[in-house]
Formats: sequence, C-alpha cells, structure tokens
Amino acid sequence: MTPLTGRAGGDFAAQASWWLAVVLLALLIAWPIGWLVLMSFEDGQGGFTLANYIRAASAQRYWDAAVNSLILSTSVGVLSVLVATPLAWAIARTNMPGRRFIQVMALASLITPGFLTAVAWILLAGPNAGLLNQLFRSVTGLEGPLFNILSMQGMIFVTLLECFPFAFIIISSALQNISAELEDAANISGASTARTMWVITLPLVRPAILAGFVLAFLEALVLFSSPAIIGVPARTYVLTTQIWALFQFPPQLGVASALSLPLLLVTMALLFVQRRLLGRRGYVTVTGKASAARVIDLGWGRWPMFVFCLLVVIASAGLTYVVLFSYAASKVWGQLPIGANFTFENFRLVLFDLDSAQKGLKNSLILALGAATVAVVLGGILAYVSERRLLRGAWAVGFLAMAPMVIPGIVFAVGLFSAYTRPPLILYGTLWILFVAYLTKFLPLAYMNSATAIKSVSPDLEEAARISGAGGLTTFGRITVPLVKQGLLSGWFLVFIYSLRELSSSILLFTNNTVVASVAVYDLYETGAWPQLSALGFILLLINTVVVAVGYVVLGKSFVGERP
Amino acid sequence: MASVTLTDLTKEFPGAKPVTDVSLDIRDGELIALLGPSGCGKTTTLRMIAGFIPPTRGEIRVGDRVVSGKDGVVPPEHRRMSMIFQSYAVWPHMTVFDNVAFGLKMRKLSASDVKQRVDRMLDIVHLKTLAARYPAELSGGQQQRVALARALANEPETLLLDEPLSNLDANLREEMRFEIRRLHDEFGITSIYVTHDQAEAMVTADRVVVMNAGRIEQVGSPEDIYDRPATRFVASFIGMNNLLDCRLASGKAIIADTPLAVEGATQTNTNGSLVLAIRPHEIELYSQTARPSDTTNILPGTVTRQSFLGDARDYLVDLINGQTVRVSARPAMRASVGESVWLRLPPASCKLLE
Amino acid sequence: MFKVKMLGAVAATLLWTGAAVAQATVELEPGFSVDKELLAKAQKEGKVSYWCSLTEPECAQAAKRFEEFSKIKVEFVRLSTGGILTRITKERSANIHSVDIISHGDPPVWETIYKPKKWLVQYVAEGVKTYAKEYKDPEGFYAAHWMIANGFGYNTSQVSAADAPKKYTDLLDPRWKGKIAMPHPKHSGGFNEAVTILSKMFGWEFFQKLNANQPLVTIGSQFNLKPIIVNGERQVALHGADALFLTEAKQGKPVGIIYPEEGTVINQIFAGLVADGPSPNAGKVLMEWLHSASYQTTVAASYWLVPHPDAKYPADRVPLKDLKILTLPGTEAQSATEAREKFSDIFGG
Repeated sequence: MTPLTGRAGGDFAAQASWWLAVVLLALLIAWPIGWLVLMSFEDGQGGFTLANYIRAASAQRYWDAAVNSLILSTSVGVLSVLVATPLAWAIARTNMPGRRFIQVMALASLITPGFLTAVAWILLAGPNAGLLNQLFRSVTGLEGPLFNILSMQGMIFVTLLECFPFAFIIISSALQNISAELEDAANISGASTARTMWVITLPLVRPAILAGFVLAFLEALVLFSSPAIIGVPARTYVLTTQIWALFQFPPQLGVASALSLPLLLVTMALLFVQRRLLGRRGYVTVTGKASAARVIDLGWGRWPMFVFCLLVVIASAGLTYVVLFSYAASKVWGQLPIGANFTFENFRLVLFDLDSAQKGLKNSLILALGAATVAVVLGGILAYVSERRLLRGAWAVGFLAMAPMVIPGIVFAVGLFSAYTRPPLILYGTLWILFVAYLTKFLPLAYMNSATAIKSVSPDLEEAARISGAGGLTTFGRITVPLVKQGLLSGWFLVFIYSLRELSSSILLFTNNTVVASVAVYDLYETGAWPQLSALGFILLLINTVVVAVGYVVLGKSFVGERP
Repeated sequence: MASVTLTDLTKEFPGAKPVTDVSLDIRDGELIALLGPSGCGKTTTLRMIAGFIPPTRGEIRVGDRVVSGKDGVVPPEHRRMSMIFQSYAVWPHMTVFDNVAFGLKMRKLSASDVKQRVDRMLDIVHLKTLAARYPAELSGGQQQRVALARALANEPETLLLDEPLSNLDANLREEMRFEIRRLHDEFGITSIYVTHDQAEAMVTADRVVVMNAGRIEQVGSPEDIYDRPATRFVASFIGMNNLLDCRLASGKAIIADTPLAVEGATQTNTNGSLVLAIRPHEIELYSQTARPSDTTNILPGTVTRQSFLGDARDYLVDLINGQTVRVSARPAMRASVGESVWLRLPPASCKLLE
Repeated sequence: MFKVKMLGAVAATLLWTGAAVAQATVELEPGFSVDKELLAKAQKEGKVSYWCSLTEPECAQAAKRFEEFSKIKVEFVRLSTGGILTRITKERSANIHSVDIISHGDPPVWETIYKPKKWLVQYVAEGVKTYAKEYKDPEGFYAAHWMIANGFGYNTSQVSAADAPKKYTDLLDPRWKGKIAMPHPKHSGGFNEAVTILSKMFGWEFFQKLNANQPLVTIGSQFNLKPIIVNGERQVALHGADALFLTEAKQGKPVGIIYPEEGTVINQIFAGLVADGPSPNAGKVLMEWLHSASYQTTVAASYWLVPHPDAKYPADRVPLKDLKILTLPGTEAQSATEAREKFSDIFGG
C-alpha cells in the first residue's frame, strides 16, 4: 500500500509556503499593531492604565474632531461615488469623446500626492490671494471670493480630489465586467437606455459602488494632507490633525494610540459589512465572461458629459501639475512663468544643492522598487490563500492584510518604531525599517489587486493542473500567476507610486543616510520654502508620471483596474 | 488501470450534508455515470475522488491503494487521475500543445517523449493542425477535445468527467458522447462520468448510478435503470413522469376503483402507499367511440389539454378520481379538450413502486 | 653610541613636551580653537550625529564646513521640534543611542523632559561663557546657539509701512479683520511661547478680541506664515520669523518686518549634548563650534539672531542688543501647557 502523502489542500512544500506567508503577514501586521495596543494602555512608566482612553474620551475637542472626521469621510465617500460612477460609466460604456484622455488623467489623479494637490489649491483658491478668486474679483468687481478653499467645504473638495480615484478604479473595473447581454435584455423588454442604466447597470455594480464608498471613506478618515494644510487654517480639526498635535510638547503618544485604535475598529466593522453585503449578492454576473460591451450613444449629451469629466480630472490632476510648475518657475507668482518672469533657480536648487533631495530620490526609488516587488509576491500568495481557502481560517487573512490601510500613518509609524527598534529585529537606522514600513503599509494595495484578479480565475484551471500532476506551488507558479499577471503588475505599480510619496511613517523612521524624497518635500513645506517645495514636488510628479507611462505601455489597457 | 472503491463516503459542511454514506464498486476499465439533478451530490462525490475535497468520513480506494481514508488523503497530483471539467479548464495562456504536454512535463518526461505523445494524442482527437494555437482561437468543441487529449495524454489510471458536454450545443454534444465512448473503448481507462442528462448517461456508461439528495438511489446498467427503476425518484428522473397513487389488492393495482394488472406485482405485503409508474408514450389512447378490443387495464378519462409536437401529440387526461395522466400519442390520434377517452396501460409497461 | 641615542631620546622628549605646552589648543578656523587632545579623541571617533531644526541648506552648509576643518563627519538629520522629541523619546525607550547633539526650540521640552529624564550631560562650551544668562541653562545642560526674533511680517504691496500695525493691540482693530495669519500653539512651540507671554501681558481678552478678526491659523511652525504673506493670502503675520522676511525682502519680494513696541518674542534654539551618545568627544568639538562666534556669524548672515556677543550681524539687521526682548524661560512649562489649551478653547484645535 502506497503511503499517504500530504493533505488535500496541497503537498507539503505548498502548505509550508502558505503558512510561511501567513506567519509573515501576522508578524508584519500584528507586531507593530500589538505595540500600539500596548502603548495605549501604558502609563509611561510601563504600568497598565486606562487613563489614555479616558483622556481621549473625556475631551470635548476630540469628540468634535471625531464628528468632523465623520462629516469629512462621509461626504468624501458619497461624493467620490457620485463623481466616480458617471466618470467610469462614461469611459466604459458611452461614446463620450476623449475617453482615453480622461482615463489617463484619472490615473494621474491617483498618483498625485494629496499634499501637493492641497498646496496647489491654496494657491488657486485661497480666499484672498488665490488666482481664481483674484480673477473672479477683477472680472466681476465683487468683494468676496468666488470660493474659499479654507473651509470645511474646501477640505471636503480637496480630499475628494485625492480619494475619488479609489472609487473610480473599482467601479470602472466592475462596469467593464458586466455582460452586455444583461443590458440588452432590459432594452428588449422595452426599457430606454437611461432606464436600463438605472435599473440594470447600476444595481449590478452596486457592490463595486459600495466598495468604492468604503475605500474612499476610509482613505478620507486617515488622511493627513488636506486636513492639515486646508483643515487647520479653516479651523476645522479632524482626528488626524488632533493626533498629530499630540506629538508636540507635551507628547502624549499613549493618547494618540488610544485615539487611533477606535479608527481601526470602525474600519474592521466597515470591511466586514462590505464583505457581508458583497458576499450575499455574489459577483457571478460581474465576473462572467464579458462579451464586448455595447457603446451607448449619448447623442448631444456626450458634450456636457465630456465637460464634466474634464473638469474633474483637471481639478484633481491637471491643475496641480500646472500650478506647481508655474509657482516654482515664476519669479513673481500670478504672472505667467515666461520671459523675464521665468526662473529655473528653484529647480536647480533642489536638484543640485539640496543634499536631502538627491539622497532622498535615490533612497525612495530603491525602497519603492523593493517594497513593490516584495509586497506583490507576498500579497499575491496571501490573496491566493485567502480566495482559495487553502488554510483553515483563511478568511482572517483578508482582514489582517487590510488593517494597515486604516491606521493613521503617524501612529502606525510609532508602532513600527516600537516594533523594529528592539530585539529580535533591530532595523532602525537602516533602509530596512523603511522597507518594512512601506511593505506593511502598502500590502493592502497589493493584496486587493491580487485578490480581485484571482477571484476572476476559475478554480477549475488550477484543479486541472493539480490533477495533471502539478503540486500546489507549481500550480500557483505555472497556472495562477501567469493568469493574474496583469493584476499583480498593477498592484506593483500602485505600491511603487505610494511608496514614492509615503511621508507619515518615513518622517519618524528616516535617519541621515536614509532620508527619502517625501521627507525632503515636507521639510521644504515646514520651513516655508514653497517655491522649492513646488519644484521638488513637480519633479516627483514627473517621476511618477514616467513610471505610470511605462506601466501603461507594459500593461496596455489593463493597467490599474481595467480588464484586458 | 485500476478499480475504484468508495466505502461509506460522506461529506458534511456546517448546515449541509451534500454526500451521505456513498458506497460503490467501480470495476477496472468500467465507465460509470453518476446521474442526478443538480445538488444531488454527484459532483461533490467526484471531487472527493479527485482529491479536491477531503471527505468527512469514509474511504476511497484506487486498486489496492487507499487514497483517502481516516489516516489522511493523498493530494490530487498523486492520484494518477485525469479530469475533464465542465468549463474545459483549458489554460488560456498556453498553446494547445503546451496544454496537452503539461502533465507529461510534470512527470519529467524527456522533450522528445513529450512531443511524440502529445502529437499522438492530438492526432487521436483530430487537433494536430491546431497544436500551436491558443485556446481563445478555438471553438468550444475544439477546446473540449484539447481537454480530452490533455486528460488522456497523462495515461491516468482513472478518468473523471464533470459534466463535460453541458457547455456544448446539442449537435456537438451528441457527437462528443460517442467520441468519449470511442476513446474509452480505445484506452479502457476506468472512468467516472458526472452528468444530469440521462441520455448522455445511457449512451456513454456501462453502468449508471442515480443519485439524489446525497445518496445513491440505484446502480445498474442503462437497461436496468430504464426498465426497472428501483425508486419513485429514479422512475420520474428517467422519464416515467406518470406516478399514479394506487393500492394493491390480490396482485392488482387499484386505481379509480379499477384493478390493473401489473407485471411482476406479486407481493401483497405492502400496506404503505404505492405508486404505479408508466411513461407517457407507453400509454395507449382511444376515443370514446373506439373502445379497445383488449379491455384489460383500461381507464376512462377526460382530455384537459392537448398540444401537437410534430412527431407526437401530448395530452393531459384527468381520470375520474381526479388524478392527471400525461399521454404521448401518435400524431394521428386526435382528441379535443373536454372529450372523453379511454386509456390503456399495458401491464408490461407498468411498474409498481413504493 | 649609547650616548647619542640617549641624547636623541631626551631631545625628542623635550620637543614633545614643548609642543604639548605650546599647542594645548589647535585653531581649526580663524577665531575658533579646540583642545588638541579632545580633537584627537574626536577624530578617532570620526563622526558626530546631529539633529537640528535649522533649515536644511543651513544645516548642510554648516556640516560641510565643520567636516572640512575638523575631518569629523557630521551626520545631520533635519527635524522639527516635535520630530526630534518623538524620536528621542522612542529611541530612549528602545535603549537606542544614535545621536550626540540635539538642537531645537521649545524651552519647556528641555526643562521638563530632557533635564529630569537625564537625557543630557552638562557641558559648557567656551562660547557659552560669554552669553547673557537668559540664553543658557544655569546648570549647563543646554544653551541657545541661534534664535528666532518674531515680529509682524507684512506684505508691503498691500500694507504701507505707515499703516502696518506697530504694537500687538493694533491687531485688534477691526481693519485687520480677515487679514491676519498666525500659527497654532499645538503645532508651533515657538508660537506657544508667544501665546504664553502675550496672555500674561494682556490677559486672555486679547486673544478673544483677536478671534473676532478671524485670523488664519496655519499648521507647522511660524516659518509657514511666510508664503501666506508673500503670496498675499493674508497681509500681516502675528508671529513672523524676521529672518525669513528679511531674506525675502532682500530677494525683492514685497515683504517687510515690524518689531512690536511691546517687545519682540524671541524663540531660543538650544543645543544640548546627549548623554551616552555614540561620539561624546566629537559631540563636544561640534558643540564648541556651534557656540563659537565664527559659526554664529554665519548663522547671523542669514538674519537669525545669535547669543554670542562677538558674532557679526549684516548691516540691514537689527542686532540683538537693540531689540526689546520678550522670552519665556523653560521653567514656565506649566503655564505654557495651560496657554496651549486655553488658546485651543478660543480658536479650536
């Protein structure tokens, strides 16, 4: 009798690999978060206390901040979906002109750091000196500003510009997967095009719309850039800016942890609800083999649609590029950067004189390459384990992998600092700690992309390989990976782009030799050097653009959320 | 080649028991069909045999090897089986040649051996000229042939087929049934064929296993199943749609107070409810004026619906006790709705079931 | 033969001793000398780690110059006060000692955190001995090595010098409604000093009335007020770092600075030698230089104030001695903390 070998889930090598990935995940995530939890219960002398939570809960201004955070996140979540859905629909299903252009620009908004967008919008729509408001005044002769960016509405607006691309990606990939037959069926039953969209198309992508809302909501909840740069001047304080203030004198890191951990619970709850809702509906129609979608003729309506889409992407990406360049290249702001008003000085300064910019660009590129590659490998394996239920309790993998997304960066950095400055892993002072930080923070991006891609691959294809004699690992490598290559690659690009702009963890973890580009940018902001900030920001944007362009060429249409 | 033996195979999930105590002996070289409606447990059984699902209880043996038992389960890649999937599961990123060669490469055959065997397999399934194509460039039938070639190239001990033809159109499906049977006869591999289509099971299988609600209802040759269904479920599933309530009195089935002779109905021990099963096309229909000469087993009734199907006329006839009988009659036999008719149920066609 | 050798040895010994006596210190750059032995030990350490809150180009320039004459590598990290504080707190709790000298403002941090936690060692550089007592810790743990003088930075194309506010109370005039910018004490330690001082001078009614003029509140240090004023988003900065405005003005930007009649709030930027640093001797050499007139003259060239009486200021800069100084001792930590909360009660945050 032939002895039994291995378990049904896979052979020994495969099982070992899956476990290894899960253990790595647990260490990566649980280790720093564990330290955070610990810190929130610490009294500063190493003793246990609830004082941090009591202090957090008893101060009225934290409640006010929580309410503001909720207003901001909810508004941004809802508006993101309201902006992203027509945008995605127009690109995926209609004959609107310039669809390709709008799509590329929407991707550009994804890669534009919100920090730079916020600075650009202050320059554009500051109540007094904002260019748009000056223009408005000189044209109308009125006193008041057209739009005061330094307000709750302004903060929501700029945060929206940073967050809606998340919803856009998810909704557009869902729209592309809907079988046209479902729409045809509605048309033939006598429904008009508009009605079909309303009663068939929209309900079919409702899970994606919901997912888009959740993502945008969460992103807005933990965002620091716009709330700091626009929210503080608007005197609208949210949790992240309050947490940031706790890092000043007198430092209250315990209270900061105590304020952030509830955010983690909110997120867990939201992700859970989302999963329940999506699970019940099922993805069946959405992942079915898509026949070529029918293009909907918008008639004269395609022009207003085009203008709407154009305004969105100009506000979120185009203007940032133009404003930063003009601000960096003008001697006098407000006049065109041409002729006598043009200066290259700020670019020269940051490129050749600013030591941290040069070092930082180099380190950032190394880190982004490393983090993106490892995140995709790990995220891919974890998504595979989770989607295919290869291990008992595989459902927990998804939650764990998504957790870093929602801890405010600065607080997470403290957890990371605590985790990697003591045995067994002393990484502080090396690039490794930044690498681990980026890997942990952006694993969710790689995980999400991989999971979506793996979901769309029929398990039959893998089982066919197993029964043909391939082990679990061989099947993963020879069948699954080639089939989800596009999803993995778009995950790679996302992690790369996000690593290049990561600030909140880097600022606590960098040392002299490991300074990164985003820290250099922030430093320029903090010392009031906006022209140089604009110059370096613009250079960073250019690098991002080149990377995305390469990605676009390599991946073709399937880049970031689009199916081939 | 090997026999496959299932002993008390059971699968339980929280809140569901898709397969219960399935025991089955599949002889070496036999082609057996697992037939049943969707959700009957046939696919779960097949996937346990393949090793994709670990059974909750029971044992699976291939030849004298236990591949799944209380000591653990052998992973699919070590079971020396091949499988054909409903979705073909042809790998879209590999050419036809590479698809077929995959298993051989996994077995570390030399490149020349691989080439030789793949070429032969492609020849057998008439795909030789398409070796360099990708699956997306093939028709559904051709993809199915690739799947077949891939499964057979590996020289498996056991071939598993999971609804292999249900994605094909009707004409192709008929052709492929014979193709599968032809290949089975040529290679003689022990095969387990899952289907919900009784015609497919009848044409291809040596023996048919009818399953329902996770249990085996009947195992037998196609003739056995067709002519001698063991249970009401089997009877109705294989087309004996008329199940008429009756009771037994002195060897006769009593329906609407009329005693009907039923072949083989000798046992009188049953007190429980009985049904008389008969196929619609075996019932003879006569107009009221043309009462049949053979007056055994005739029942009066009233036509409530009729429809013309080209090669037959389909009638629903209400008996006087209110039971409805479906009759498939010759096209020439015309009776209009509301007309009184005679039905004759030939004793040889009647089957009594508990 | 033996005699000759003997003589040679004696001569060598004599020569060595003489050199040691004559060159107990070595001049590293004009006007800056350090103990030769200290320098030798420092050079053996080879490098010094320095965290500072000066702007990066200034940090980099200073580091480069120090490296050139001392042959000791400077590993500097530019960080804000909050950044340095969080970092050293976390480093100490993890028992990591990576820094030799820290430098930033916010006196209460030095007085109520660093000193009691014994994170600093006492070290009084030669230059510190020349400072006025306001600019150094009497116990010798830390001393200022540059300072920020804060006044009303204003946009000269929007406000004429004559119309510009002259004293703090001028800012309460409704004509400045919607025209003032200031930092937030929760984000700027420097401004927190000003808030503490002003609230003591005028009472909290000052800020309540100021709130009626709807000042713009920025995040980060007072440095961030500069672009707001340069761009004309607001006309007057309440706590503008004069050096930044003077530099911009020199480059032709439409800005100017006014020192309030009530006095100028000075933010002292201290430097302290960290206990158990990796290179204590190199740290001392750098410390000597940071407190030297020659270094501080360079800092003053960027219009910053410096405590060394011998440092030279540019001609277009009011020197320290001519300013009416308002400064907050580190011992006022408690009132500084209360002021921060009180401010938040009025302005939010």
